[in-house]
Parts: sequence; C-alpha cells; structure tokens
Amino acid sequence: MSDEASPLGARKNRAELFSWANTLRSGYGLVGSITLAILVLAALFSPWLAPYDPHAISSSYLGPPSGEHLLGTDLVGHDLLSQLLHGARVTLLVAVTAAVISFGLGVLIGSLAGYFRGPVDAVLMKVTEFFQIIPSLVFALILVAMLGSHLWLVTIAIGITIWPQQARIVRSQFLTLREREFVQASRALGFSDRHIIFREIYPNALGPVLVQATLDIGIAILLETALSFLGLGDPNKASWGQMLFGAQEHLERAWWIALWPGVAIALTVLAVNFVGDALSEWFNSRSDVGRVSLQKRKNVASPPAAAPSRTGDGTALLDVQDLTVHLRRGAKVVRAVDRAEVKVRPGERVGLVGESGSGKSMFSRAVLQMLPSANVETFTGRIALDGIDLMRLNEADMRRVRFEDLSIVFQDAMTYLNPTMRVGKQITEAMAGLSATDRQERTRQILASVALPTTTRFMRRYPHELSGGMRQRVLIAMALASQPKLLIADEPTTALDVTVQAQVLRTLVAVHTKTDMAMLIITHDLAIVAEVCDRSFVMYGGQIVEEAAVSRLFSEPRHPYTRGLMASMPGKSDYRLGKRLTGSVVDLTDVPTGCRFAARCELAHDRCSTEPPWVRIGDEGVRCWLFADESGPIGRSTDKPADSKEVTTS
Amino acid sequence: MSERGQYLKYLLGTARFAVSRLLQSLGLLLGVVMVMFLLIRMAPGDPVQAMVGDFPVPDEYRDQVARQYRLNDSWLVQFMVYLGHVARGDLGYSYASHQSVGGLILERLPATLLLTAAGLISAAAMGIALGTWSAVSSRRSTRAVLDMFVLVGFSIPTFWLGQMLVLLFALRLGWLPSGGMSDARAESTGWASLLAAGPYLVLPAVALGIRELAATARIAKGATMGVLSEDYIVTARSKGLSSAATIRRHVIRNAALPTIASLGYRVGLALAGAVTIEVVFSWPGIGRLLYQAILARDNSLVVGVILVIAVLVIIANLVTELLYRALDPRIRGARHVR
Ligand code: SF4
Repeated sequence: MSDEASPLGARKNRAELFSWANTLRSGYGLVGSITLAILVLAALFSPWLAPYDPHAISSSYLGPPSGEHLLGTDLVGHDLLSQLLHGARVTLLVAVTAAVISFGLGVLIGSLAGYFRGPVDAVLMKVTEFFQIIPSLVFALILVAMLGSHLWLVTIAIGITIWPQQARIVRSQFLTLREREFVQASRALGFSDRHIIFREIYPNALGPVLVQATLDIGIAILLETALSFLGLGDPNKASWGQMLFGAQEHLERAWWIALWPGVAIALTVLAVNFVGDALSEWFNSRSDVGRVSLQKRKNVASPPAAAPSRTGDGTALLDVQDLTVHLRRGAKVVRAVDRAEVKVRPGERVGLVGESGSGKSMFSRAVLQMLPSANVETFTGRIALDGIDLMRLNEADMRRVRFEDLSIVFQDAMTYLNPTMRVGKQITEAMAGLSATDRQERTRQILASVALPTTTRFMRRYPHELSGGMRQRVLIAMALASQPKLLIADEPTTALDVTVQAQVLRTLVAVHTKTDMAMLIITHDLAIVAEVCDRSFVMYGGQIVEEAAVSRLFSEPRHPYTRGLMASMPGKSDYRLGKRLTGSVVDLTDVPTGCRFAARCELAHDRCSTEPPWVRIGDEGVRCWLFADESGPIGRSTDKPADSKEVTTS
Repeated sequence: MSERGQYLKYLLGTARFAVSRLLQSLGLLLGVVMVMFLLIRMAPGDPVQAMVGDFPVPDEYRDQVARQYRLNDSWLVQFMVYLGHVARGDLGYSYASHQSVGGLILERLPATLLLTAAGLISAAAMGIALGTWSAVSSRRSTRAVLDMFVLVGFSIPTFWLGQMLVLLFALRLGWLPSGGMSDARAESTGWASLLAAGPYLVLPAVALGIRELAATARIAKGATMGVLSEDYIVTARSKGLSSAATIRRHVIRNAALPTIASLGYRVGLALAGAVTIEVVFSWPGIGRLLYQAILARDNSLVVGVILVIAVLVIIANLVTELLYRALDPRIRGARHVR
C-alpha cells in the first residue's frame, strides 16, 4: 500500500484538475440552453441592441476594434457588432427552418420506410447511401450553384440534404419498436395501425428524433456558413457565414473580420450540441444498463487492515456469510441477494437452484467480485475462499484468486467468448506461469479432458466456427486451465439442446472426479442438480430458502417453494409434493416485508406476514414458518435433540 | 478441408463480395449522374449556357454542343448520350479554362488526395487512441474532457479553423507557410516534391483533421464502451487477466473494427471539408477547382468534380469494407465444424 501513496496523491491532483469537466459535463444542458436563450433574445432585439444600423457606412473601413466600434469595422465600414447582431437573425432563421424541413422529411420518409418496409425501405436506404457518397455540403453546394443563391433556396437546399439521418433514426425506431412486447400486445388487442403509430411508436421515438432535430440546427448553421464562404450565400442577407465570405482576402490586414463571426458560429453550434448531448443523455438515462467496469470495484466498507489471514472453520472451501447485494436500476433498488449463507466443502458438488430472477446469477458475480460497479448500492457480508476473505482483497490480489483458485463457466458460450480471438489462445491465456510449450501441452490435456479435439487446427478456430456444445466445452476448458479449487458453473448448459446438455454435464462430472476441485452449479433446472450435485441450496427472491442433501431434497423437500419447483419438473407427478408453481417470481425491486414467497404459497398463514426465520435442522436448513416450532406439520425435527435446532431471525 | 483450401475459399468469397459491391456502387454512381443531369437541365436559362457557364458563347460552339449532346432530342436521349460521354470518361470541356474537364481534374487530384489522406489518416489514428483511452479510463473526468473536445470539434467551421490557424501560425508566429504549395512543388519532382509539400501540408491537414479526429474519437469511445459491456470481457476478467491485458488482448481489436468500418464514410465528409480548406490555403486540389468553377459558373467542371468525388468515396468505401473483412474473422471464414 505504501508504494502507492505518492502516485495516488498525484492522481488525486490530476483528478481535481479535471473536475471542472465533470461539473460542466453534468451542466451541458443548462449552459447550452442559457447561451441559446441569450442568442435568440439578442437576435430578436437586435434593432435595439445594435449600436449602429448594420448597413450604415462609417468613415473607418477595416477599422480595428476600438471604443467607437467595439468589434471593429469591415471592408466597407460596417460596424461588425451591429452586423453580428443582425446576422444572428438570418443565421438562426435559416438553421431552424432547415432543421424543420429536415425533421418533416425525415419523419415522413423514415415512417414510410419503417411502416411499409420491403421495396420502399430499400429505396430509402439507396437514397441514404447516395447522400453518403455525395456529402451534404457538396450536394447543397451544387443545388445552390445550379439554381441560384436566394436565402430560401439555400435554406431548402440545406434542409433536403440533411434529412436522411433523421429518416434512418425514425425507420430504425419503427423496426425495433414493432417487435417489442407492448406494440405486439396492442396489435393483439386489435388496435389499429394508426393508433399504434401515434400512441406507441412516435412517443417512444421522440427522444432520438428530438436529439437529431437539435443537432440538425447546428449542422445547418455550419452548412450555411460553408456555402456562404464559398460565395453561394444570398449576398443581400448578411448572415454570419456571409460576413466570413469577404474575410479571407483580408486575413492579414484585418483579423477581426474573420474572428468574430467565426466565434459566434462556433459558440452557437456548441451550445446547440450541448443541448443535443444533454437531451440524449437524458433520454438514455431512462433506459439504463449497467456495464462491468474494468476498474477497481466499489470500495468495500473496510479496507484490508492486515495481510489476509486464513480464518474460518477450515472445513468449508467457500464460506459465504450474510452476503447482501443490492443494485441500483434507475431509481429503484434491486435486492438481488439478501443475507445469503452458502458453504461449499472441498471436492463437493453443490447446486444453487432458483427460477430466473431469484438473484442466483448476482450471487456468482458477487463471489467473483465482479458486480457492475457503477450500479452497486450495497455489497456487504463475508465471502471466504479457502479461508481468505475475498471482500477484503484489493483488485490485484482478487485477480490472482481468479487466476489461480476460482473459475467460472457462464451460460452463453457465444457471448462469453471473444469472437476475434482463436480459442486455443483464449484457453492458454488463463494459465499462470508456464512456458509456452508447457502451456501448449497443458491445453491439449484440458481439451482432451473436455472431449474436444486436441489438434492445432482446432486451437486455431474462432468461436463462431464451433457448434454450441463445443463452445460450451471451450468455456469449461478455459475455466479448468488454471486448475481452480472451486469452479462455479452458472447455468452451464441452458443454452444447449437436450442431448448436448447431457454430454456437457457428463464432461463436467468426469472432470470433477479426476480432480479434487469443488463445484458450485447454479441452475434453474432441478434435473441437473439431481444428476450432478451432492448437496443443494434453493434460492428465492434473493434469499436462500432451503439447504439440503440432494437425496433428501428430492425425497422430502421442505420449503413450499422447493415442493412447487419439484412439482413443476417435467415428468414428475405432483403426489405429496404440492402443486405446480403458479404466478411469477417476486419483484426484487419491491419485496414484501414478510415471507417473500407468500404470494405464491398455498400454505401461507398469518405468521407469514413477518419475515420467516432460518431454521437449522442438523446440517440442513429451511426458511419457513412451518418449521419454526417443533410441531411443524412436515418437519422431521422431532428426531433431533431440541438444542441442535437454532432459530435465527434474520 | 486443408488450410490452403480454406484460404482459397476465402479469397474467392472476397472476390465475389468485391464484385457485387462494385456492381452496387456502379448503380449508385448511375443515380449520381442522373441527379447531376437533372440539375443541369433544371437550371434556369438555356441548356447550353447552363453547361458552359457565364460566358458569351459563339454560335458555332453553341451548335456544336447542341449536336454533341443531342439537346434537341427528348430528355431520355439526352440522358443516354450524356451517360455515354461520362462512361467513356469524357466529362466535357471547360469553356472557362479552355481545357478538358477530365484533364483539369486529373492535374489537381493528387494534391487533394495528399491533403485528405494526411488529414484523415492521422486524425483517425489519434482518434482511435484517444477514444479508446477515454473509454477505459477510470476517471469520469477523462471521458468528460473527451466529450467536450468532441463537441467543440463538431462545432467549429472547418474553414474558419483553417483561417485562425493561418492567422496564428503563419501570419503572427511565422512558423509555417499559409499557402502557395503549388509553387514549392513545381520546383521539384517525384518524392522530393512530396517532401517539399510537407510544411505546406501541416496547417491544412490539422484544420481538416480536427473534425475527423473528434468524429473518430467519438466512434472509438462508443465502440470501446460497447465492447467493455460484452460478456467476453467478464470472461477475461474471470480468468484473472489484468485490466491492461484485458484491454490489450480483448478490447482494442474488437473496438477498432467498427471504427475502421466508419472510415469509408468519413472520406466523403473529409473531401467536403477539403473543398473549403483548399480555398483557405490556396491548395491546388479539386476542392479549389470546384470553388473556382462555381464562381465562373463553369457547370460542366462543377459536375465533373462532383462525379470524381463520388467515385473517390465509392472506392474508399470499397477499400474499408475489404479491410474490415480481412480483419474480422467472423466474416473471414465461413467454415463451420459440427
Ligand atoms: S413462511 Fe409462510 S408463506 Fe413463506 S413459504 Fe413458509 S408457509 Fe409459505
């Protein structure tokens, strides 16, 4: 830690140096809007604000800025400040009109393409391609050159060269939104297309379309400027661009002629871009998705005081206690994991079952210390691997743990493999400290152990060239490469079809029996637990609701949720197991104060409105009021001495 | 199949792809010619005047043009004749400068290519670096500074930036020349002339490049942020790779791909920027030629330059698409193992 002290200090200084950028970044919208408001007012009141008539010719031509002419005078002797103020009217008028034209054309044509698709869409895409080949400046330029330099013509020329972007946005909104559930639903309910377009699609497309319309104003200003500079502006209307037209030849003698209009243009366009950027941030923030930060995870409550020492009871390899993970999603808090207790002993195969949305995947991310750091609200508890508390490790030490002791196999092998890296390399890069030839050798061994070809040709394949089952095996091979003590498999076979599933599971079991590695298998599928695991945890609503040996879990499930899961298994009759599950998983952003399963529980009774205790029964446990007292209807607690059962209210 | 067989297959696939894209491009080019033809015909005044520009035209020349372009026939015939001329590479005659349009453009083309390539390539390289760096940076302020730079870059009129650079570095400080490249190059030939162009190139390339730099940085930043949220980055981290190794091995290549794919499109915008930049720096390229043609109302030259720009953009798009195919293994090999 001590060697980090000084660079940390320097870093802090640098961070302070740029902190203004953060502040400004969050205030883009405000700064931009205020600037634009002032500008519009100045343009509106220019006749009263301007010190001179913009057409009045003073005796001093090409006069530098002075008390009399604050910004100087131009070639003819016009006062530049007055010209600038009046020019704002012309420039803004052209820009806003052109943006409106672009908006109208874009929305119309984009809607047509998005609604009719097929040939109409194909034609639109060709037209957009045309505008990519002839840039808008060039096209506007030839339009004006051919048809004449009137202000309205310049405006129209700009408007009809910049709409394609808007049209593309509207089109893509149509194409994506019409697949979304709510539009599908309205359609199923028999709403007319018109209703769907105006009530569902347009309101949803509003964000990106408004952003583009704003940006179009800036683009139009720049185009008008460039056209005028090239001598194609309306000579009778002194826009800012027109003011720059004559400046080129007098750069050397009168810098001020070129400076002021340019500054005005740049500031105005910048203000417009600020507003557009703020708008798009605002619209995007409403559809927020977390991203895994590459940087240090959120600082945990207590920094490591001393070197991590090996503590714990020594029997558990993974010992998770009181783990709580709450994530922010927009304004809501997702209680993904609440006070979870999970133990995995060396060499054991342990399951963690639950429906999707039960928080089980966040559990695995938390163990790996790989939560989407930007969205973490609470992350507390103890996660000990082989006696080392992972919560207290810094990023470098945690990395070493991931490198050596802990591996994970994810569900969707396609997305969890780098598409542009050869699979052999992806496996070898997970190995620590071996020579190149050793790595090669070891890679072949691992490939063989997961029943993949060991040829060089296979190692030189890219992920997309493999079948789903092969990709999943590659992912397992990668996880095995570091010879971990614990392998976490997060829905390892869900993405595969049934026969391949069985093969991959067999591979996992075969690999396990050859090593003394422990496995934690996270799944929604009880059949996998039955086939692979010794012991299992059941998770519901972010909480562990049952822990039991697999044989007993299936013969005599305790928790009503477990029973429901069993009954819902295909091929299982529902005799004495309870009914199939109905209803949907509890919303983790809005959990009840009492039992989280109560809404779906047939056996719910008055006590269930307060949180049920974790009832420990020997090595096993269940979180349900039915087992809280010895006379529990299904509990087998009577054959245990009373003191071996502790009731913890958590 | 052997590696070699696969390679051959890949080459064949690429060739087929290139040919089909080429055909599509030709279709687009036909569209461009059509639009240009219509514009000239729509221009006010008589068609011969529209073609040759604001010059007193002797009657015999007027007859000759009318005959050559079949101006008394139907529009369809006129268009086919016009198309025939363009297809043969005959872009017409510039009455204003008494030279063939094709010859004029060819003479000026190298200077524009030099300027655009210098501006675009250096801007793209720096933009990718900046964008990637800001995206992987831990500090929000780094991204905020880049966002700001990008917005400023998008807000400054390119030619005005050129003028300001001239004011500061050429006129005030006298470090670099403000223009007149043609004279310097005329004194030497071949590679030497390229070297001689060096100092003249700096300011216009910078002025042209800022906007491209901003654009590339923004795309690279977006692409990198996108890659960072990919699942395989989670895998890389779960393997225990350091941030630096993850970025080097897994982020950069995947993020650079969409950025490179966007470059073809940027060529068109850079050429448009070059039109104004060449005027500011008296750069002897086709942009300034276009400007002069517009001032002289030399319409056949205007159309000629625009057609050449269209062809350049199409070529650039084709090249970037082929480059993209070569870099992305997903497209490269259509070989599947079952
Ligand atoms: S505590 Fe009550 S509601 Fe919850 S599972 Fe047990 S019986 Fe059902």
